[in-house]
Amino acid sequence: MVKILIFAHRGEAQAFFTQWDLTPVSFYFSGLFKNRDYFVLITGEGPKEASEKTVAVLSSFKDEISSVVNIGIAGSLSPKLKVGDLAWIRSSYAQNAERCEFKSYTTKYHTSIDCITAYSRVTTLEEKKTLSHFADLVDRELWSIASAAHLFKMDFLSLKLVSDESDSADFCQLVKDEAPLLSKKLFDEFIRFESSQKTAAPVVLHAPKSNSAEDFILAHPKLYFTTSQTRKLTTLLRGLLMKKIFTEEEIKKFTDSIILESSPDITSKELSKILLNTLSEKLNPLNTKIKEKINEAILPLTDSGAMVGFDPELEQEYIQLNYQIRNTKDQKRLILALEQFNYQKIRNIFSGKLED
Amino acid sequence: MFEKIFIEEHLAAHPKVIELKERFPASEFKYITKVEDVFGRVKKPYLQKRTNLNLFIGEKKGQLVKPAPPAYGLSGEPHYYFVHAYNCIYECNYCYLQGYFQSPDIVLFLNHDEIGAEIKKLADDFAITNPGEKIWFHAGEYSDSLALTHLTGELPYYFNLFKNLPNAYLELRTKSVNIKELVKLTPSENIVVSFSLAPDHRTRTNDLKTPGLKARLAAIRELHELGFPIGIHFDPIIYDDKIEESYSDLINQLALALPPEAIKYISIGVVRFTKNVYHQVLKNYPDSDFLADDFVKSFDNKIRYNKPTRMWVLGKVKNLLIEEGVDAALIYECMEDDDSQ
Repeated sequence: MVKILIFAHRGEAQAFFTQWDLTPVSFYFSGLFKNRDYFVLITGEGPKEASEKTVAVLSSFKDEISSVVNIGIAGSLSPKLKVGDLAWIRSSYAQNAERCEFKSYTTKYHTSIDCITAYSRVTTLEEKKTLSHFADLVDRELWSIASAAHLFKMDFLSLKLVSDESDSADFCQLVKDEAPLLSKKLFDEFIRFESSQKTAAPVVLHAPKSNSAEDFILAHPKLYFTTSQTRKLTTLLRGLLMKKIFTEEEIKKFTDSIILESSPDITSKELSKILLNTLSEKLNPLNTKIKEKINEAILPLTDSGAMVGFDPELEQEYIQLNYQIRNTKDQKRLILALEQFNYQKIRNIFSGKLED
Repeated sequence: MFEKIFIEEHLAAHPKVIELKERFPASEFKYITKVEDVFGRVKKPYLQKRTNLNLFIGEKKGQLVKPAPPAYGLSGEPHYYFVHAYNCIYECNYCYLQGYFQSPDIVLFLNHDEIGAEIKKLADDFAITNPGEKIWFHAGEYSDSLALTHLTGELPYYFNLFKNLPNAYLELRTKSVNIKELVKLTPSENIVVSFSLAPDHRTRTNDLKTPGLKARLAAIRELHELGFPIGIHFDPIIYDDKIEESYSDLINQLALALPPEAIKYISIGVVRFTKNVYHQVLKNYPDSDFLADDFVKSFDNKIRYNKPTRMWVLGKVKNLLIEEGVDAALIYECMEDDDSQ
């Protein structure tokens, strides 16, 4: 999997072309290039161009592309950002015909600088002032690119180089005069970032898969889980770890103990069900107690052969009976069961009275 | 503290604005026509409050005082809330504000005179139609009532207003210990400072960036000793297997700071979310332990524990309070359906 670097103008990308051996990719439009490690896309200026071309490329090469990086120049809207400053963008906003797009996109790597994408060129200081309420930088493409990345569930990053200052009417002067220099600056920063990512220790959010309790359970020869049971197992294990009820090792030991205590004749499916139920009891003992209490309360009915249901979410207070009467004996059995059944017990459970 | 401070243009010469400019010289001041022109116009990620928070200064328009939702305070009395601020400097990981405004930026409204006039009208009308009865007004629905009072400075205005409205009660809801402006004022029987409390481990893991339990209890003690009426909120209560033990400890500690007979009222409520807030919590705090609990869509479409669990939790905490000597009539269950009470 490779990254795709997306530029509006070839000038912004020229250092990348100089430093790398990029070859054109035959596609529906020109501007797509590739080497071993990266795609490079030149979209042309503006959100429409950026959106159309990014979506088209991501759609066709989604199996090869892991994440999206927008690189280019942007105008400063904040006195804190000066010409030549580099910024990794935090959130991307957009303004279209004096209205802001409500939706925003946020990157994972950033420097607390936000960028707003203007649908038309910003030509007055008044426009800059209005946009400065929302972001520190203004560009013409980022929001469209971020939106496309979001559509394809890909991470996106954005590196911007400041081309003009917030109080300057000399829009994009730097671009015209110093394109090769600014492109080199963008290239150097991108390479620095890539090196830092490669050398940085990987962030371990969860225990490595191979040692996880989940892998241990799923790979256990005495257990078999259906797809929905696997999902339930994942949720239960995550909950047990989040609540610090068990560690990964304790879950493995607990699983072993359940298997050891089980009958040798039990099937893998039955054993898996028992394990799921037991883990569920550990995660939420109160729910288990509530269900036990309900089952106890409805015992006269279930003993009579009635099928008794209750709200599986335990939110609505009711019980539902299904009973087949084939003769007077059945009828009498049901009458007796209903006499023995005390609905007040159900009412008490739903009122939180769980003690005897 | 604030990266940008947005001011409604017509308030540029307001003494509070001049004071803010002196207090925050490093902030960028920007002038706008209306707060709504900028605030909430784009979806600003909630956790951006950690890196750069903006402040908006404006005037609240529309209905300034609104009827409170059912089961908001002690039953049998009308309850209203008024809004003089949006958002909070704290970061409670269950907070509904993360799904409410689409921006974590702080908004402060300066038209307290207009809010006060609406409160006075409602209180006066109520006094005519219901002589001898109480009417309640709550601050802190969309913000913490004390956390920024050193900046906002509205407390003397509301104290003065309510001292002249004997049938009206004011509640200032807080998790803050910022009581330095409050202690400058003379306590009034009809102005209640109410503190939200949770067991120590919950305060540390869920009430992010807030003062710890010890500090809140110390503030309660200080205010009580100065004669301020105190209310307590055990809301939201988060279930865990130590809940009885931890609430028993909390109630014991509270009793040391505030004798049970001195509590004006105490609300108990179990954690709940709108669907939108729940999704925001999943996004912002995916490792919060309470997300591992079983939640269901409940009677009002909010996401809660199932009914037996809620009722069990409320019953346990209520019993612990009664055992400690709190009058049962002063305990109310917050935001629960009628048949549960």
